[in-house]
Amino acid sequence: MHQTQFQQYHGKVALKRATSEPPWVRRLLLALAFAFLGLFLLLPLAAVFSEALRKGWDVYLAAITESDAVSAMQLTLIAALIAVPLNLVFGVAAAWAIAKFEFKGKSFLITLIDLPFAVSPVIAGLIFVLIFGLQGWFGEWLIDHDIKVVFAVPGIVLATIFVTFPFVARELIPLMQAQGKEEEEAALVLGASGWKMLWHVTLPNVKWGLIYGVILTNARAMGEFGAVSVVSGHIRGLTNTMPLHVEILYNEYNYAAAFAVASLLTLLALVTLILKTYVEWQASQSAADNEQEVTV
Amino acid sequence: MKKKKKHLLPGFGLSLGYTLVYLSLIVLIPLAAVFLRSAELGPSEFWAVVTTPRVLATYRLTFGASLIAALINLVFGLLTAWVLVRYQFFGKKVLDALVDLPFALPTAVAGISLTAIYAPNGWLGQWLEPHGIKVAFTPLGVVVALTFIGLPFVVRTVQPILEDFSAEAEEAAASLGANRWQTFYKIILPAIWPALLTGFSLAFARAVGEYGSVIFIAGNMPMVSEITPLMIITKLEQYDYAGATAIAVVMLVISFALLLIINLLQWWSSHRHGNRA
Amino acid sequence: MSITIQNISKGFGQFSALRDINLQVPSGELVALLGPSGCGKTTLLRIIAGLETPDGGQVLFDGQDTTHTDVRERQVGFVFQHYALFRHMTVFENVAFGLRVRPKATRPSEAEIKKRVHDLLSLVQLDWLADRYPPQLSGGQRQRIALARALAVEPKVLLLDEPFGALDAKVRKDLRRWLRRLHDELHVTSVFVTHDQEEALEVADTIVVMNHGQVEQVGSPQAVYDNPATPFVYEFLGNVNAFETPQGKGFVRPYEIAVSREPQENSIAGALTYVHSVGSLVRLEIKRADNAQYVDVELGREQFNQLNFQQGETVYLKPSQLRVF
Repeated sequence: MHQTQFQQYHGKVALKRATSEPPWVRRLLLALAFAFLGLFLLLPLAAVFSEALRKGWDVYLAAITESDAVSAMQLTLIAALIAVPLNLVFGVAAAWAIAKFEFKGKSFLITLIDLPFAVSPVIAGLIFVLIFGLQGWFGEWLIDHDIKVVFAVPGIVLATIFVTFPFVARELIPLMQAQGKEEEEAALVLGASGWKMLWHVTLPNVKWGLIYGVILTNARAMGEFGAVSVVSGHIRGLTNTMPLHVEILYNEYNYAAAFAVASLLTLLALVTLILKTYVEWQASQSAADNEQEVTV
Repeated sequence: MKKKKKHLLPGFGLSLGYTLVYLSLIVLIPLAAVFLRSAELGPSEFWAVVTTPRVLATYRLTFGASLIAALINLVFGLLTAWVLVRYQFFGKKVLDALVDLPFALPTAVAGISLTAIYAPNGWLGQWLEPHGIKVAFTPLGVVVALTFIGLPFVVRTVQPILEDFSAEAEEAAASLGANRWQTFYKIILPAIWPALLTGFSLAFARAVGEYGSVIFIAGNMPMVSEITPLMIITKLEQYDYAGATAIAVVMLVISFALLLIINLLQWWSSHRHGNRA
Repeated sequence: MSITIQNISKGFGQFSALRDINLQVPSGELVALLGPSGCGKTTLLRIIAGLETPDGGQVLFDGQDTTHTDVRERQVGFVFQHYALFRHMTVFENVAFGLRVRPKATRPSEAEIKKRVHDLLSLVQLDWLADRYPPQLSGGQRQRIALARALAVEPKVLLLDEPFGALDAKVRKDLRRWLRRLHDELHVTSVFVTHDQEEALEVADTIVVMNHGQVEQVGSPQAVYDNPATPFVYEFLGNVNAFETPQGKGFVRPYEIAVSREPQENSIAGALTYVHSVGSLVRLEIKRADNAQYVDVELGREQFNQLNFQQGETVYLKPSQLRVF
């Protein structure tokens, strides 16, 4: 008891004198950081809500319940509902292969998984136009069979999958690597089947990373603009996602409505951040619990 | 027989196979399409398309503004990480969580919001404009948007390194007579340098490809405030697929080079000086 | 330089780490602060170094109050538990650090620095490692480099926090002797913290036994071992058997008990439950017949062979020396 208390205080207080800046430096650094974060984080956040409510609640409510806005929400939801589970399954499979086995070209594979992150969203949209568009590889075949991909929902979904491709895998790979494979081997020795082991041992161990990966994928899927903009064709009520709807309203100088829809997306981002903080807190709690087991 | 012994755990073939197929279908084949389509132009035609004065101007703006934004983030990202790790203050948890906002906020929302702030009648624009500082609809606006977009990267790469940095090393430096500034640039800075560089490259790479937040605030004037990704869209809207593809290839090559550099940096930081435990 | 600690106390929140400590470290001595973890010994060492500020009391160097002197100006050498070598600097640069960060006016020339560093590296017998990086060194080598680095600034006091704590048994023994010899050569006033009684007994001129933020006893290794001032010191230093006696708690070292087959005046009967015979000493475990408590007894091997006790046999114990508190 005494000892743990002692160690807890020790770390914090030790920093006090020998390794801290003079008070004026401290205040200056804090002021600069606050100014920077205030300017680049708080101000844009406040601006969204302030602009959205500039013309009052009635205009706000009208803007977000208008039929084009609602169909944009529906399309955004559909795209996320397809993209997130697909990338989730991929992320788990990729993390399993990469974290639990040794094979040649592993780090190259990790780099390839990161690729979509390094590609401009505009290019992400372009590649699907090049394949499925009118002048694309499958363009004529698709027209012959009356299938629309580009300037239609499938194109939007494809572009969304592409831009959110790495997130679950990126969260899971380091976690699963850190976890090692002893527990899985123990499960096997105890006679669990492969799927049972995945469900009862592997996934619970990386639960929080998995949840965060999904949250992040979802946020990016719902908010994607550049890639979706290229493949959508901006057909109102049909191929407009929420971010595209914001753009259209904005370009029509309908600022209040544009910011009203934008405020919904901002709320989504804030919820994502809150969930992220909660998940990180949970993860650190369970890590602390594990450590305590070891020391006791 | 040998193979079975190597992998005690099941599912290697299935998971790796699935990974490779999905990766190929979603990422690799579509990306290859860009390169194949660009080959439809001859080398001289390709060169002509990607070096017209208007396109060259977009490179200058895109890479110049991205560089400036990444540099701003290098300095202020380090500052933010430092303040979040070392100091206690009211609202710290909230601010820490908000650092990821640019990552979670749809880029279009960021774009219109920043534009509203810096427009001539906006919260800040109305104060800056009389002093001759125009932000919205100028290259400066592009820098502002790209700074916003790249904000989390340096903070999030440096923060964990700073958190794990041993207090002992700093105390050792102090006990050897080093003052605070000497301790910072001789002991702490070298330790976080690889993370700083990684964060900087990530912010830069992200900024180069950014589209949504920029187009609203940039004003998109040819030769002045037009970014390269917008050039691709402009070409597409004119049904100039070959032109759009050629510019995309230039951007992809640069992005891949950046990715390579980032990976090398990470490799270097984990292997330098023959680090063992 | 002598160190005087006067009425030092220090708390961390609710927890009181040091309570009214008074201590005198004579110039040129090698002193061990010995105690279990959490007893406050490291806090005391850090207060002497100036890495921690006491809540009350004073630290005097040669009679001069240094309580509020900054660590940078205290001229102490501090060797950290995990060495705290700068991992991005070579061994040479590590040792040179304290010289290179001096203000221009007092900074030696590069040539002087080079000479000084190589002299120190020779002193710790690691001159050949000058261009290596810390992660490439063994634990014992790191420890000696950390010491060389601390000595480079010509400290008036050398402070070492668990200097051998992170090393394996064999290296620890070698380094202990080496540190003792080094101290005999340099005669710089040194204080080291340890939880290992054997280490303190072997290396130090004086041992300060601490517990719960207080000093239990100060004395030479022999004095604290042979004449423990408190029950805590008895139990902490070496093996001991504790008894409840009518006068209070009694303590007897395992080698201070005579064992025989015949009952004697005031002797206690017991069953020999276990014989552990490895090395020059034989350890007997005896279960007392009266209260079923176990008693440890140590005999010389020769004596044991003569008596030839068998496991399970009834024997009689008589302490030759008993201390009651």
